[in-house]
Amino acid sequence: MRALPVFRKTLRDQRFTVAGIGFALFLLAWFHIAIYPSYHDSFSQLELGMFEGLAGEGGDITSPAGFLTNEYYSWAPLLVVVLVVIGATGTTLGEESAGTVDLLLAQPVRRWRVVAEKSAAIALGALIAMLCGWVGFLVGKATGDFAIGPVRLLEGVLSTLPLALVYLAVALLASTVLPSRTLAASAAIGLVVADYFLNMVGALVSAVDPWRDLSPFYWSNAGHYLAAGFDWVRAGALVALAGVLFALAMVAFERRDLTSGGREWTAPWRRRKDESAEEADAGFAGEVALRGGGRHPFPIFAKTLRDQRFSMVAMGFVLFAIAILIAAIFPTYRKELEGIELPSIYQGMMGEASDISSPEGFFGVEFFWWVPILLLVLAAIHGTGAIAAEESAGSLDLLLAQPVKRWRVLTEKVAAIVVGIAVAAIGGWLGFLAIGPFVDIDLSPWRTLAATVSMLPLVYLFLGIALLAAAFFPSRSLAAATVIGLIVAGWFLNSLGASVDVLDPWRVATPFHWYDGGGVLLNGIDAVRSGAMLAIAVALFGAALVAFERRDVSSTGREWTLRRRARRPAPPAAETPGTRLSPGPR
Amino acid sequence: MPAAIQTFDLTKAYDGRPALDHLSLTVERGEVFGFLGPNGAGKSTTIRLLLDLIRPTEGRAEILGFDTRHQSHEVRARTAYLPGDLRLYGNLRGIETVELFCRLRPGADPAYGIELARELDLDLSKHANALSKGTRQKLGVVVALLGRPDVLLLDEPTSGLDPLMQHAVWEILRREAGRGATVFFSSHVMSEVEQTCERVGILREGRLVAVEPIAALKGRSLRHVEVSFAGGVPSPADVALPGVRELRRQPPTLEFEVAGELDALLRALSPYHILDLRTEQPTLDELLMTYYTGEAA
Repeated sequence: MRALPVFRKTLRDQRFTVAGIGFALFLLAWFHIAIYPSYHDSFSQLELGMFEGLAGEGGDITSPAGFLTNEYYSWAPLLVVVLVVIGATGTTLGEESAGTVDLLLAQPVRRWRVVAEKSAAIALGALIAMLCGWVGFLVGKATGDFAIGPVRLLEGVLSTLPLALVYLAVALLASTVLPSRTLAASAAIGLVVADYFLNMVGALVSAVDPWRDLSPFYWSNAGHYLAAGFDWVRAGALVALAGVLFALAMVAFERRDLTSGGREWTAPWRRRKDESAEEADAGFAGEVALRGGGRHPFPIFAKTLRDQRFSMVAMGFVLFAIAILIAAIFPTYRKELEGIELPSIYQGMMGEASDISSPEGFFGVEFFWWVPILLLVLAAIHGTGAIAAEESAGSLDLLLAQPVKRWRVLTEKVAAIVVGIAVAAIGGWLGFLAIGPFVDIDLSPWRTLAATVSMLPLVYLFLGIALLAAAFFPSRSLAAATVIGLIVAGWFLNSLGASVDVLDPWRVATPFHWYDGGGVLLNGIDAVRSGAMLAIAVALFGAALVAFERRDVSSTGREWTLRRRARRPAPPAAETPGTRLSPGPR
Repeated sequence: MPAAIQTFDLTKAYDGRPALDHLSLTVERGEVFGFLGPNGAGKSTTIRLLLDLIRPTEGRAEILGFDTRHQSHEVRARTAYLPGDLRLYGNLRGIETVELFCRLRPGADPAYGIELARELDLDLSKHANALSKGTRQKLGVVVALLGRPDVLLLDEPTSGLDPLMQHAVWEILRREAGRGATVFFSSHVMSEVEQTCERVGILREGRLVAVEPIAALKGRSLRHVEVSFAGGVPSPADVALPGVRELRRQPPTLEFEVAGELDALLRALSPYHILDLRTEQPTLDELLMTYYTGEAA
């Protein structure tokens, strides 16, 4: 008998996500080691006093430790923490909404053990993803020159582990106390984002600095670990905090009822509405008000929009906050960066707006260069899930048994995703609009709107790829992992190709090459490029439609395994008189 | 007028293994047809093929004269479906579910859904994921009947319901049949099949092994006969008759298994002094078991 079955199953369930994040961290780490020499050459001559806070205790941002802290570690811990939060909110509420928790806890296994095994698997998954980043550093070191040794790099990488444990426990507590997984994940991710920004803003703004003591991100600052080695005191304090939160989560989970099929939760404002409707009609639901998707002429569109409202609005809010932050720090940056000659890699990334002290160049590289990645991940997740999510939930059968054509189902779902992504993108523009009156930025809001809109053809193109991948790959996770891999690889190919001659000719093959947010800020939308990307997106959507029209629909999600051939049952033995099928009485 | 359901060598294979093997079947309009078979026999596969959710490897099917593959939209506009493993949108309330499916089915009236819900004592204000299995099934029945369809394809429609609710659902389905709808349903509840069906089809390992009116199926069953005699008993040669098999000879009692009518056996026994004669007919359950296990001859 093999030990820790829940641990092993959880590890297996998250294998694609861990592999995807690990791959991204590997490339990110390698990329940073690769660009460090030219980065150092460009920035070492400058007075960059205000940025010292971003380097933490890693020294100045041009030193190897300061550079990694300011660049790699400004994103890597966030990715790992989001991975952990999503996994942790699924440990209890995920099983409850899937309806499997009853069967699991009907076995002679204690509740705390189930949660502990699941949590351990999530923590191990996070550690594996972090170590992929370390491998990326080692590969970068092997192919170039970097002054920090492998052990110290490992200590830096491990600085994220206590942080991940804290947020694992936070998410676990949220999912045992709050009534819905979406709510728990939103609360935990909201806390992560608030903590992240508190730490980052505190590094730049002295008035906020004392508050950083409350930030787990601050106490897990990689610069400190890279400069002084693994800090057992800081790590121990964070692990102790995680332990307390974990214990609270355990107590809450031990005490509460379990629901099979997920807990019912209604937002207070809707609850009030329902109560007033009930008061109006105390009898049976005879006059229950028709609402939501019911009145909409495109009910599948309306329902899909409603289903994804949390993720799209949350993304819009994140972009809003990022835009405000970036715009707020711009005036200070402009003074520091005036006249700087950027390394070729940055110039390649910046496209036509190559002056980083200009608003076009600054926003081009600090916002419009990487923010599309967030929208692309959203497109990959929703695009691969458009049909597959409903198929694995088992509700697609009933939907397609209605007199509605398959093309209409897919079109309405995709239209909702297209609108949702546009709404999320507009969140960023609203951020620029909101901060505009308070900051001196010489940039028309129409230009920022144009640059925001110019992200969409790129995102829709990858949405098309995601739809097609979901149609062809037998599993949604595999399709999503492939599309996210393509996004990450394409982004790095385009970015590295700007300074690596051998990669340069291949840049045209990535859609990122045809997107230039900074250029749009400078010259307005390039209708030809955007139109071409939209045309490709439509063609990919058309191909996905054809594939969906032709294929069988599974009632419980498509089965797929790497060992499919090996597991296929042997053909039936030759019929013998004893096994011969009876034709039955005639 | 075309039949309600007609399949022509309908076949579905996965990895070369047939899940449904050359099914040829006709269900007339207005008929209540039971589709029986053990798990994995191909019942759900048949229903999902009829709805164009999966595509046949060979053969074809028609519903009300419409090809299920090439005119599936017309088919689905006239057909109701209740899946065996019913999954509803957990984040929608009952009333929202009813609204959504009414929007997807032109002509469907939410008020009728509310009326059905009242009949089934179903509270439409709760989210689907907060409903018990039986209550979810009631909501599934309501959704299926929204458009007053001509053909009802129901995969174990009373699964998870208590006897009272099973009765209520069957009342509604009988009413649907009464207005001319065809009911094609799979089931494991033999008493329900016996009471509601006119004909049954029996599937085993993807093949149709019998299509019979219920009465004929029962009439065809093997009867167990036990006869006690006063004095001599008939010799084996006396009772060597077609359809009669001697099971046990323990004078003064003989036991037989008889297929079909008893007339020939009684005539053969009439010269002897019979003290007692007992016959037992297997239940429909036992009879179907013989089909399921391949013992039916």
